[in-house]
Amino acid sequence: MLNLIKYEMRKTWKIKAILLVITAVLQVVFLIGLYGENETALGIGTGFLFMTAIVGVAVIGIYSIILLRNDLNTKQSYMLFMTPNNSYKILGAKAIECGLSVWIIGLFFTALGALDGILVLEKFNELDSLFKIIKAMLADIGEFTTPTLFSYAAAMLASALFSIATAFFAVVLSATLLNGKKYNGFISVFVFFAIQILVGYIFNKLPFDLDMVNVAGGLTTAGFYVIPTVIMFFITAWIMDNKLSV
Amino acid sequence: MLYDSKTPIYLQVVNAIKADIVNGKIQCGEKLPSGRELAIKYTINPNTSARVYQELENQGACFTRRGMGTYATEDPMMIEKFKKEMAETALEEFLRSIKELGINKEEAIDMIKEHQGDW
Amino acid sequence: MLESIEITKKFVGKTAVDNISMKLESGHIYALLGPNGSGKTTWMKMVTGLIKPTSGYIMYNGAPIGIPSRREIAYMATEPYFYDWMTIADVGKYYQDFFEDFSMEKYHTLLGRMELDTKMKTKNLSSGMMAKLKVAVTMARNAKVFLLDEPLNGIDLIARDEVMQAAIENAAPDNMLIISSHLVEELESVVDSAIFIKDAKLAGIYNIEELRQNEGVSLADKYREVFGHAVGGEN
Repeated sequence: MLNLIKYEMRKTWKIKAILLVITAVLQVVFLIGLYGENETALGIGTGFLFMTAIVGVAVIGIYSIILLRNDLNTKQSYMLFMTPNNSYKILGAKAIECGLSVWIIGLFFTALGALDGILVLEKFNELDSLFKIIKAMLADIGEFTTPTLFSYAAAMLASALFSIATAFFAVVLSATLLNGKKYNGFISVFVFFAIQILVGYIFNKLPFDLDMVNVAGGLTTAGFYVIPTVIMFFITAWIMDNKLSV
Repeated sequence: MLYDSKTPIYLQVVNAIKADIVNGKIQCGEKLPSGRELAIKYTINPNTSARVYQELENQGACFTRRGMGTYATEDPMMIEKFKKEMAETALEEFLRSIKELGINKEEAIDMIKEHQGDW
Repeated sequence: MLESIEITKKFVGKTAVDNISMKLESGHIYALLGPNGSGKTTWMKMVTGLIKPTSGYIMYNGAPIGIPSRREIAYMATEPYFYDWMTIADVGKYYQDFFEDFSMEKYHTLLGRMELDTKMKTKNLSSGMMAKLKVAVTMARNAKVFLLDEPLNGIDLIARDEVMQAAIENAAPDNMLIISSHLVEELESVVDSAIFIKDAKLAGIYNIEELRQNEGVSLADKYREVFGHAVGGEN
């Protein structure tokens, strides 16, 4: 299992390195803007850092879906499926690698955001009226503290992982039960959205008020998403073990 | 080695080794390669090479020393016998071809004597 | 012992393997012969477990094939299948990580003989080099069943000799080799039996020496007889 994870990491390190380099450059731009009191640089740095965080996590997730697709549908599939590992391990290694990456990168960006926020706060202190306005806005939604920020991030990441697990399922479905059938791609995309919408609908019907912008609500939401994620994982691995021909 | 397409491969290898014993490429009493080495040397199946040694042993062309391997026969009479047998076979083949061309025995002998090639 | 029991694989609109039953024993080298598309590759992939049969099953030493049998069954695919980022050294490392029967020492010996450099990137290899690498890494396992799909394709005469030599060296009373090929003559002296697959069906299993002894024909002659005069020379 560790070997499988090792090779999954080997397959994704490049894209993570690129992400890290882009982030480092933008952080430098941000710091120059902040301490050189260059508003353009500060604006660019902040804006693009924020975008990189969102897009970065999405890219890691999407990339792992593309990798799974390649590992099922190209000749490279032999590399995995000729080894004495069952699909739970093979898919598990991918899920662990992707899950950890999404969490680590997601929390890294959250931490970076919190840090940069504090730096801005210190630098401008009482002076910056814009910041006060933002803070006032956020106060309307909930208590804007670092713990709420992290719990909100946790909820978002858990929901992202559920989307990835659903996408894994759709990719495997397309390579197995739907393989060679008409409208294969269309049906698997439809299945993806159907599951996403269904689970979202069930969550809305739950007798809890899940306010994500407080610590308890954020963490409960995150916890709830674990359930369908795990279910999707086992269904997907079962289909692979029993129906997959590469 | 090229194999003809009619006779069993093991017999073709047996004949090749016997010829080597007769012409001295394999010395009297010399250790022969292991079954696997023989298989590699002649590009044959290891089972075929086992059969080659079995057949050579049956014919008295080699013998096995327990735990030591296979050795070419040490009996000069045996080698002489193989020489005669193989020469006889070669001669029969030659005569058949010559006869097919309508050449009689005397003509053939003259042709051999006059032949300029290496002997 | 490897047993194929009424195994069938249907793809959409095509039956790739049709009800093939046969028993293969250790201590033998088998040739798997038949024209392109006759079902050789599909059969091999079912033995490896890469393709799930539509019906029938494969038994290995009395148990259906599955994940554990992959520890003892080594499969070499026709197409290149290594990751693009791999060097020849990485390929060996990968096999070492996943197969307990892999011998790094044997791998390096085979690489040396095939004149392959461990620093070379797999994506830059010529087709001949790739074919040699696949054979080397597969044969470096001490597997009980070797399935080599077209190992002689796209390589020169010298490399073919190396491949055949590696096959002979690896053959042992407790393992079996199954080599698919179009090159009937190349395999004739090395294998002891040949399995003919025609139009997805088993068309016969022949012992090479028995063919010569009993019928006075070579494997190539028999191949021409079974597959029709035009097909025999295909390569």
